[in-house]
Amino acid sequence: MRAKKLIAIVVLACLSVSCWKRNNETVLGYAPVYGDASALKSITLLPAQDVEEGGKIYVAGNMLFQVESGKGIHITDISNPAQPQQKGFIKISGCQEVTVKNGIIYTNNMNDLVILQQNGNAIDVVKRLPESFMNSSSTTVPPEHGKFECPDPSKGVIVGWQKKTLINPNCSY
Amino acid sequence: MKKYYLSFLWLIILCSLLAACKKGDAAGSSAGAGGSTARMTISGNYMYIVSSSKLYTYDISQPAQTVLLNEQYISWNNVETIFPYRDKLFIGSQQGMFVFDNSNPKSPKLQGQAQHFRACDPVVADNDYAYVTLRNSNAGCGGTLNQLQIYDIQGNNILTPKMVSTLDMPEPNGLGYKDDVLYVCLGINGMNVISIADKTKPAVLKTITGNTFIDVIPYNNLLIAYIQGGIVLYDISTPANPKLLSTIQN
Repeated sequence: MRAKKLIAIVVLACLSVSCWKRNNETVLGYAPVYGDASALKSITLLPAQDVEEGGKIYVAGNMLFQVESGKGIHITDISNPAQPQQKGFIKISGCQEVTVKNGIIYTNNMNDLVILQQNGNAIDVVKRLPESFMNSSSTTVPPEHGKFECPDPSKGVIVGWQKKTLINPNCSY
Repeated sequence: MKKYYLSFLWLIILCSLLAACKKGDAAGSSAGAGGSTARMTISGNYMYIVSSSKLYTYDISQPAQTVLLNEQYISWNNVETIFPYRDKLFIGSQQGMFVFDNSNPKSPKLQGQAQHFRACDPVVADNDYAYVTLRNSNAGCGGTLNQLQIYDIQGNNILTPKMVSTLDMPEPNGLGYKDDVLYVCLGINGMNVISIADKTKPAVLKTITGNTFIDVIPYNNLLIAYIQGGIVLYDISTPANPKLLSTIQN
């Protein structure tokens, strides 16, 4: 009888601990971004898109560039910072990083370094250096160590990682 | 007459000096500015990319002929960020901060490093001080601290940067400064506006909440903040008092 009571108490205690953990663990970590495996290397200029989660930023002159993690780059004119104008979106699978000089955009397309130049309504890839982003754009683990949302293969291939608030992420490395 | 001639000569020398300075600035500013959590950056005609253990140097003087000049080992321990300041590159890793002398931009040279407890750490710097945030919320980083650290990097201190102060704060992430004010993103906890007038006593002036702040770029009188879901722009003509200008958010 006493043993049963003890077991019950232990079980209850364990449950409450796990509940407490589940309810309280909110961290800034990475979640996978899923994409279309057939179009990983195609880069296209599209009309402005709504920001989904956002990503890293770069500013050059009056133009602001924000990565949409794993998906591309939003281009915004901030000459009037009180009323920014979204100008377009470059679709780039796996995109995580961006820098710009003299209107030339340097970014990553999966693990490749790509150098882009706008050409009227299109975007030209003026140079592609394959496998230049070793370890920093992985399809299995996020770009920083830590806890992350576990990949779900049923959602497609992983093209990037999105930093966001996560509740109880189960994976870490 | 001779006196006038001499003043005129001085004027010409002064003008040419000023012009030279101006030219230098213009060359530097043709690239823009990135956040403190970037893995790639441009300085002059060179681009630098950090992987988890190496620094890669590219010549981008002719963008279509961009070429990898060299790669060099930095640390085994998870390099995460690179921040350029004048002739230096500041590299953040989970092991500590590395300072590379970039006076020969084709081949940056390791100049100094500051070790700290294992943690995730973006870094920004000015002439005399480096500002590092350590965050332990990601268990994989193995850190035990959540704090801002300020290092003296003047003169020979650059070789082994000397910590002059720390300030604890929740989940510090990306950061940036303007004049005597430092902006530190705190994830879901907002963004701290910190006075760094006295580097030995950083003091929180206010915390801006309402968004999940991840990184910032102070850009002249504008503070560009990367928040989860988009961007917020602030007027920081009074650095201690950011004024909300606009938001682009999902």
